[in-house]
Amino acid sequence: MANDPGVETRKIAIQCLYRIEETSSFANIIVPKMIEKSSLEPRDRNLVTEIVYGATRMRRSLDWVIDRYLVSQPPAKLRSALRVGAYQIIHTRIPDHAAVNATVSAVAKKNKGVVNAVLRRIAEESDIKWPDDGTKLSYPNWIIDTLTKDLGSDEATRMMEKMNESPTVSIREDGYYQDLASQWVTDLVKIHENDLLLDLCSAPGGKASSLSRKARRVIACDVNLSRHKLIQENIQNLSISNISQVVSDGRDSPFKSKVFDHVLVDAPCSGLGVLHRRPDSRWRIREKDLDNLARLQVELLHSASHLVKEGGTLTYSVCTVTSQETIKVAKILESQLTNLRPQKMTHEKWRNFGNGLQILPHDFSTDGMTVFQWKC
Amino acid sequence: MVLPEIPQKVNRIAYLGTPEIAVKPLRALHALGINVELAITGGDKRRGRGSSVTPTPVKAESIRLGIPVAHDLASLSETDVDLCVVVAFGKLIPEVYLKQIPMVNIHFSLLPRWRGAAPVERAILAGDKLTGVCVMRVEQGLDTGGLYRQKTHPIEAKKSLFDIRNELCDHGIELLVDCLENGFGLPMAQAGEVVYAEKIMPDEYRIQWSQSAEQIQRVIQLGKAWTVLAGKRLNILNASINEADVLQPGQMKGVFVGAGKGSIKLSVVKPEGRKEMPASDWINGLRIADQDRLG
Repeated sequence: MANDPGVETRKIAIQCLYRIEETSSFANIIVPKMIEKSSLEPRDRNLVTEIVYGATRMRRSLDWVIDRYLVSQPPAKLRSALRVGAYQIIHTRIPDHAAVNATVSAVAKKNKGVVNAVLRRIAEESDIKWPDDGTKLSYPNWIIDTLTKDLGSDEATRMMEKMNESPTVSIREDGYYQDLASQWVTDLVKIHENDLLLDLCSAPGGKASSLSRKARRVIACDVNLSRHKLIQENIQNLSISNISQVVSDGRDSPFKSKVFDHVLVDAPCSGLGVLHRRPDSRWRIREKDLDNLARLQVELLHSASHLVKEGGTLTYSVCTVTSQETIKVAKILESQLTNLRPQKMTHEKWRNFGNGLQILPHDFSTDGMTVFQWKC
Repeated sequence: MVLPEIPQKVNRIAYLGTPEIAVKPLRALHALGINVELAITGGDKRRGRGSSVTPTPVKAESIRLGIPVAHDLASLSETDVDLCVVVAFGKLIPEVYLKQIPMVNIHFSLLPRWRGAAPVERAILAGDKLTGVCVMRVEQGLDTGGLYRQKTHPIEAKKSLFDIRNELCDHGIELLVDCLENGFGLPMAQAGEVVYAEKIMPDEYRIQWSQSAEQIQRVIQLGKAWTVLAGKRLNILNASINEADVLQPGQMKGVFVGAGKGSIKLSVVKPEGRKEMPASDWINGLRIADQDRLG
């Protein structure tokens, strides 16, 4: 039984969940690492990823389901095992008996009894009566409230349901993996072959690399030194020769004013439009972070606007959809810099959103994204 | 080729440098309150064991100081600076950039003697008693530009290359700061015999025991001298000249080794696969036959 791949799969999944919760490991780092160490077949590796990512997204809802059958808080390792089991029963097509057996076999002897009892009772339930949407959809209340306030209850619910699914994978013509919404952002930057571009928050270089195909040269700037390695790898893999990298804080960059035909500020944001891609991030991000991020975005755009040539464009994109980090930032900027003229963009995929454009994750199964553009 | 003029008041500079020796001037400029807008440095390299790459010393220091960093000169065209300061950059600077931005270099020799990559090393090996440092204009030619400031400095046999270069660097910083505070003024043309300082090849660090003790001591001064005993490498880190003793070249007697003329007294060595140690300790643990020779 020890070498049963089904049991091994659950063991690794439990270990990953435990590490994400206890040592704040990032899901997208710890899962590939643990899988790499294992001797699992590709099929089972995918299952580990699905269970860990899914159980991380659905943490709140799974815990509510589990806690009804417990009289006290279980230790972290046991809770991880219960989540792994409950996730399989409620959210996958794995037969209940298989999910229960494999999970029970994967836990320490002293925990087998309780895991077996709790999972069996969950499996016997035909229809779960959720206490509220927050528990059912498994998001922190503040995210539900914010999205509902900004998008309306209908869109917010559809968006949150969509972000509980695994993301779709899309590959560019040149072989680079990039979400379609990000590709559509670069479509909105109208480039001539002689143009000089600055991508101010460039790592990992996805947008810069696609822009570089159409422009004379692109400067890929990012404040984070270690993330520059990703840009460098991507440039090399794609055999691109017209990108220069500069490590610099975008708020205090070394560039001359008014030299770039286009500046792209793909700003650091809460990422509330990509929660399907980063399973643990809904539990990491805090409401007060949005204030700081919005302020940072205004500062970055402010600096960026000085670098654009007269007649050039400034593009501002974020992978979130809350008004605080999008339309409010745009308004503040426009009130401070009167030379910026909002640029009307048209693109079949995007919704109109103030003077900008927006895509919600459930529109085309992409990331949620918002874009504004100004002529300088 | 017409080069751009250095403005009377330099406010913003770019810094081009790569190795450890280039860290101190960068730090000094930053401490002086000069706006170092951008540092350009060589690429990350694999150093030591393992496959991970480490940034150059200048890159690491720039990040620490919050100075933006780039690896190629391309972004220089869009950078808002009045002047480029070049210290041991390690790459030739294409004409297109020289035309855009005035550039000055701290060079470690009394130009035009020892133009090129290894001026301090060559000055030591040639037995020069005097060297120096200058702030000079960077031109298309190799170290041919005019001199804004120059200072001489003695080469003492008891000092290592590392120490001498550090002293030169300190003087160079003073000269550069003087230029920045009081204006660069008009450069003087270089006058005298032109001599080139080629890069030191690894072979040149191997001691030729047939040479004079004086010459061998100069090689040891460079810090990377090595020789061979019974098929094993021995690095000689510190030694002195002993005029009196009469030994065959490479012949050993205690810590003394014979040279073509005079002998060398070993003081610190590093045997292959071991730590550095006093030469006497190494000798004590050694069984050498009479016919054994270093070489």
